[in-house]
Formats: sequence, structure tokens, C-alpha cells
Amino acid sequence: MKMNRRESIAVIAAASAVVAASPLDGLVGYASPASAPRVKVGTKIELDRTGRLSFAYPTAAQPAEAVQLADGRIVAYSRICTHMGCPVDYRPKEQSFVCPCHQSRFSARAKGRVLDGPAPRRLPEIALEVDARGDIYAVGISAPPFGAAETVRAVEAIYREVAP
Amino acid sequence: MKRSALFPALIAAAGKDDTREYATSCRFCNVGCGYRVLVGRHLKPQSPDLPVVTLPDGKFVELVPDAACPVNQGDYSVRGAFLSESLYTGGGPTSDRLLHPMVRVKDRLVRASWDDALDLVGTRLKGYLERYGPESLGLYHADWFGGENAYAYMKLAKMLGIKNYDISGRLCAASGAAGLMRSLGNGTHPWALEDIEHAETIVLAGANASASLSAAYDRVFARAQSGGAKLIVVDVRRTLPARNAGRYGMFLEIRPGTDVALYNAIGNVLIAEGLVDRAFVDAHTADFDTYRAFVAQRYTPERAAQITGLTAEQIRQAARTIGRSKATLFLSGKGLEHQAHGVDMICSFINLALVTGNMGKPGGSYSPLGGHQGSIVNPPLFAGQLGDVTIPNRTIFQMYDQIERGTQKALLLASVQQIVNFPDADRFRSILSGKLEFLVVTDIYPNDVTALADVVFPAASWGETPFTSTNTERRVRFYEAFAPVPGEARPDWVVPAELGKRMGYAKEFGWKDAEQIFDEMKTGQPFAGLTYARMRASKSTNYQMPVPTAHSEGTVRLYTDGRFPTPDGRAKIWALEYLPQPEPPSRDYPFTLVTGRANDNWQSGYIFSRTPQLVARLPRNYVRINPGDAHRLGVQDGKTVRVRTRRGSIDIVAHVTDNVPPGVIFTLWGYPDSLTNVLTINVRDPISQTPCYKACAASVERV
Repeated sequence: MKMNRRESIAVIAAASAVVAASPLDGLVGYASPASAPRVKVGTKIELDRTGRLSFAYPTAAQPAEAVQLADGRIVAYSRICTHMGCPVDYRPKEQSFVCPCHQSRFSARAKGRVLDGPAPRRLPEIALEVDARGDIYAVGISAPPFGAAETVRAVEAIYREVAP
Repeated sequence: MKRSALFPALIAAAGKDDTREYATSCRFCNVGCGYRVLVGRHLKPQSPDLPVVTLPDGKFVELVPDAACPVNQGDYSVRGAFLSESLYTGGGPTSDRLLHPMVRVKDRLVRASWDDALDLVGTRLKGYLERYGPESLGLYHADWFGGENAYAYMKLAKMLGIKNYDISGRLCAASGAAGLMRSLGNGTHPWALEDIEHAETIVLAGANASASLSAAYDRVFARAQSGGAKLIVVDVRRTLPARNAGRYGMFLEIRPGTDVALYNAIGNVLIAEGLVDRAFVDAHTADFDTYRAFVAQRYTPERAAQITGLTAEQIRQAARTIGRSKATLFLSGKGLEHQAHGVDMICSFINLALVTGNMGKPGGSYSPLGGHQGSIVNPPLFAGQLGDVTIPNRTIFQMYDQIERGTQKALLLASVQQIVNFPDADRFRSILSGKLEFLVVTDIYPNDVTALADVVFPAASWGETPFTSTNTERRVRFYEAFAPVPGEARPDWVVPAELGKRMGYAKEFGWKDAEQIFDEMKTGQPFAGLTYARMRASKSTNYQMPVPTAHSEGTVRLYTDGRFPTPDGRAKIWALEYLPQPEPPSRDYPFTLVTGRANDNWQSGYIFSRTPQLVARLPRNYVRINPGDAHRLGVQDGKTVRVRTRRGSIDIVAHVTDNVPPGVIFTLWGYPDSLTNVLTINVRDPISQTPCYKACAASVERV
């Protein structure tokens, strides 16, 4: 899961190349594992017991959820719907997240892909690490969670921290 | 790594902001969500969730759902989400835009100047007129490309005496308009979207509104979910609204095409159980007594149960829910319109609104939901302006017959893909390619008719030229121009105007811009009180018609006084028999093939197929088949099958799902390159001439 420095530079360089075409695309992949905050989600024991763990990522104001899929994989997603920002609920039976406001459905199995509804893009997936003790950490996110100004500010803050 | 390298646009925006804001609406469905358009070289993005694209002039453009617009209140569909990606950027998926006029030289279309191409068309049309008269010419155009463009074509038809004149609403909303006309005296939608928030019961019939009218359905869902209204869904398929209705009301899973029997039986129960609004019926409707006797005798819930596949108890329960509500909103979709007897279905459904007094009151109304915007601003509205060309005199289907017989020589098509949209499509392709002498096409992309055309004109589109249309609640939508016009493209109205000039009507077609057309066409119309300046100032909110004067703020809903535009001022209640499907399933064709829409794709996918993020969500057409049927035929989910009807066959991926009941298969109506309409039957409603896209007999086999 860990990216070495060279790979992370490649990711950032690719992101900045896209910025020239569109100011938004540059945000995608902003919290690559090398630059993103590392947040403790919980333990493997807790997850085995409940099947899901709530946490916040990348900031304390942005709810997220880690779940264990039927095939045993542990995955985590932002809980903020990409349509209008309502908090999505996890449905273990269908292994998808469903938005209570406008019924967008996102696959927990397939990288947050939109299965139905008005959401324009995937639910941002959160990269996890499980250490030897069974502690689970969130270490990156595939795209900024919904929320215009807040997101931009959060992104800028992250880059302020990592910029040399 | 410097921050300024990562966020040049954001950093620049802090110092200098050249962003200009415009108002527009979504270019797709009849809901017409309002959007703010932000254009600038130093654009600061408002929403990281929606795309920003670069225009050919180097400016960024972003479309943000307008929270101040009463239609969508900041909501949007996935089709609307990618509106900016549908703009011409000079490269990428929209790079095949038509940029120059072209004329056919032997087997090839070659670039020509506007003047040469127009001169050629003018000369040919004049020749046909002199030799064969106006019968030899035909016009057929879109109804979604704005009133200004439609008016220019209508005026050309009027001036040249052309009776072969039709609009694309023929394939779409004509049954709804004709049903409204027969029941209420006018084809205009009478309701307001805010009726959703006033209704105690919402009946959604033959409409997968979450897929095709998403932002309106979001309001319906919110109302049902909050307990404000019961949701009754009538559908063949177990759509998302159907599943919602199972939770927040009731789902009536009906056999294809049997709606008239259901609504008659609901009428029967309403009358038998005293749930009729007698005061409204007596004061404002006609022919109630005939209807009462008819449904009492012919449509008991028991008989309707046999026809529809529902139980008599379900029908009684639905009637009681409707009858006991203070306000019931009746909404219908293409499931009622794209039928062999679509107008009957609409009228039998409107009957329920009339007998319960649900017309013209908050929460109590009827409307067809419809496809594109604009289908209600076109010919019927120009009645006063252009006299006898108001209702198309001969339909596009009659034109095809004339072309086949050789009496019609020329056809002008404007912004209508043709073959892909027609039932029994292969037949129409052969008529167009084999029998027609002269075909002129105005459009924005190469398509199945530009390939056959003798002359092609490139049109300017949404965002590139201003125009107006209207949504389902008669709210005028004003589309401002904010993007450069690609190449030599010009607005659609330029073609009829320039042809008119060349045929001796220089004064009549002397418009300099769309605004001059608007100012001419509004005289005596329900939008007479509007100007471009007034619409611009109102942003994406605009006004609900009628807006008769410059001081009028518009009209929320029609018929609030119970007076209808019929000769006696009363709405008519129709006694209508249920008529069976034109092509019932048989031994060789044991399935009923139903066609419809998907959330991600709009109609025939003209824009969709150039929006990569949408194509990625729906990369191919599919045929849905019930697990029981699939098991019997050995059909596997995700494997290709051949769907065959008496007209033709297509190979398509099977999607095994209980979303469709046994005996029914479903495929997308206009998915690009899949040509579903090779399968559909060319049987049309006798009144509206709208094709029966919704039901024909089909077989499924493994390949």
C-alpha cells in the first residue's frame, strides 16, 4: 500500500499536468498515500465484531466508513454522497452505500462505482493499512469528498503541510 | 513542489477574477433544471464534483445547479452533471461537430460556402414548387431546439404553402398533448411542480421518473419519504419508483398495455363508494353520467383484475387512497403515450383527476411528464400567429408514404436524427435512401441522415446561440449564449430564413438575431409579456406561462377557476373501452418487448455518446429478462442473446433481473448503435400518430 517517494512524485506531477487543462481535475488523487493524513480507524477485532467502523477522513468534519465485504476484504469510503452531500448508509446485504436523499447507490465492492441515481462520480475510496497488531489506519483517499469550498480549503491545507 | 504549480487557476483567481455568470437550463428533459454558467480564464470552481471544461477560446466553463431556481433548488441529474462536457471544445469527444456546410458531389459530401449551399437548396426547392407544387416539399424538425428556430420553420411552411409539416414531438409527446386536448380543450400541461409538495397522493403511471425526470422525481420521493404523500406507481417493470411505492404507498404491477381497464375500474370504485367530487363534476365537467353507466356496467374491479393481472382488492385499495386524499396528483409517462391507443390511456387517466376534482388546485392536477422541453411551445402555441399551419397537416409518417409513392420529392430535416428513432427503422432507412430525391439536413454532428443528405448545414447549439423553450410546468427556459460558435455553424433559424429570402420573402425573413424572432412570435401568445431583457434579469427562474403582460409575474397553475378552453367551458369525461395490444405474444414470439429509458442515457444518445463519463456508466445496451425465463432458455447474465421480432433482430447483452416480470423483456429505446427500433412495430395511435414503442411480440435466443 505504501508508495515510495518516486511514485508519489509521479502522481503529483500527473495531477499538476492535468491542472493545465482543468482546474478541477488537478484535485483528483490529491491525498495520495504519501501526503495524506494517517488516521486510526479502529481495530480488526472491532471490525470482525460489527462488520463496519465509522470514522472521519481526511478531516474530522468528513464522515467515512470502513466495512468488511463478504469475500473478507476490508474497504473504506467517504460517506458524503457525491451528488449533494447527504450522508450515505451502508447496506451489508447488497454491499453498497445508498443515499437517503436521492437514492444514489454506490458499490462497495467495485471502488465506489455509481450503480444508480443522480450522483455524478464514484464515492471516494479511502486507502487502509492494517498493521501487525491489527490496528486499521486510513492513509489516503482517491478523490476529494463532496463539498466545494471546504474541500478546496482542506486540499490546500494538506499541501501546505507537505510542500517543501 | 510549489503550491502555485498545483493550483494555478485558484491562485490566479485570488488576484484577478474575470468570471462572467450566465443563466441557462439543462438541455435535456422536461423538468428543465436551472443552472448558473460560470465562464472565465481565471475561473474559481464552485463545485469539485462537476466537471470544468476548456472552451476553444481558452476560457474555462463550469455549470453549477442553481440553488435559487425553484425547479431544482440546487438538485441535478447525472445527465445535467456533465452538461459542460457536452460543449464543443475543439478537441476530444465533441471534435466531430459539423463546422461547415457541405453539398453532395457524386458519392461524397464536400465543403461548400453558406451562400452556395443555400443557393443550391433555394433553386432546387423553387424548381419542385414550380413543377409539382408544395405537395412535393416536406419539413420535419426538432421541438427541443427552441421556439425561435421552430417559428422560423413554421413561417417558411406558411409562406410556401407547405402542408407536409411535422415536428419530432410526433414520436414523443403527441399522445399526451392530444389527450389533454380532448379532455381539457388544450394540450398545455396545467400543473406546477410545487403541486408535488401539496399532494397527499401521487399517482405515477407508466413513468420511470427517477431515470428520465430525475430532479422532479427527487421531489416526489422526498414527499413520499417524509410521509406527506402516498405514492402509487402503475408500471410493468419493478423500477426504482415502483420499489419506492411498495414502501411508501402501493405498486400496481400491471400487464403491458392494459391501463385503460385499470383506470376505468378505479373510476368504477370511486363512483360506487361515493368518493367522487360531485360539486366539481356537476359544475365543471361534461358526460359524467355516460361514464358512470359505462364503468359500472363494463369495468368492475373483478373484470379489470382479469385484464390487468392485478387483484380486485388492489384496485379497490388504490381507488380508496385516491378518493380519500384531499389532493391527488396524477402524472403519466411514456408508458401511456408510446402505445397503440395512447390517447385513450391518457384520457382514461385524466378521467380520474376530473371525477375527484383534482384539477387546478394545489396538489391536485394531471400532467404528462414528457421527454424534451419545448414540445409544448411549438405548433399549438402559434395558433394565432400563423393560422392554418398550427397543427401539422401531414405527419412525418404520411410524408414517408408520399416519398415512397413518389409524390414528395424533397425533405428538410432540422436537428432530428431520423432512422434510429423510427419504429421498424430499416423500412424508413430504405425509403429515405432509395426513394427521396433531395434531402437537406441541419444538425450538429454527422449522423444517420447526414450520411444520406444532399446538403448539410452546421447548426449552432445549446450555449452557443440564445433560444427559449418551456418545461413541464410551462416555465419558460431561456438559454443564454456563453460559448463560441464552432466553425461556420449558425443558429437553426438561419436556414429557413435564408431560404425564405431566396424564395421571394426578403421582408418576412429579415431577422438579424433570435431576439427579433422572439419579439415577432410572442404577439398574442402566452409569453407576450416577456422580453430577452426580462428573462435575462430573472436568471434561471424565469416565468410560468401565461405571462400575458410586461407586469405579469406568470401563472402557477391553469384552470384554478374550473373553466376549461372547450366550447362549453367544461372538461370532458370519456367512456373508453380497453383495446388489446396490436401484436400479442405468440408461440414463435412469446415475449412482450418493452422499450424505455435509462438514467444515464438521454434518448438516442446524441450527446451521451460524446460524454465519456456517462458512456463509462452505461457502456452498452442490454435486454432485461426475468430469471425464470432466462433459466428456461438457458440465457446467462452478461451473455449475448438475439432478440427477434417480425421486423428484424439485434444481438444484445442479457441482463437477468427480476426488474422485469416473466414474459416481458426490456431494452433501451434509443441506445446509440444498438438500433432497438429495428425491432419495434410501426403501429401508431389513431389520433396522435405516436408509435407503439412500448409493446410488441419478440423472441429471445442464445447465440
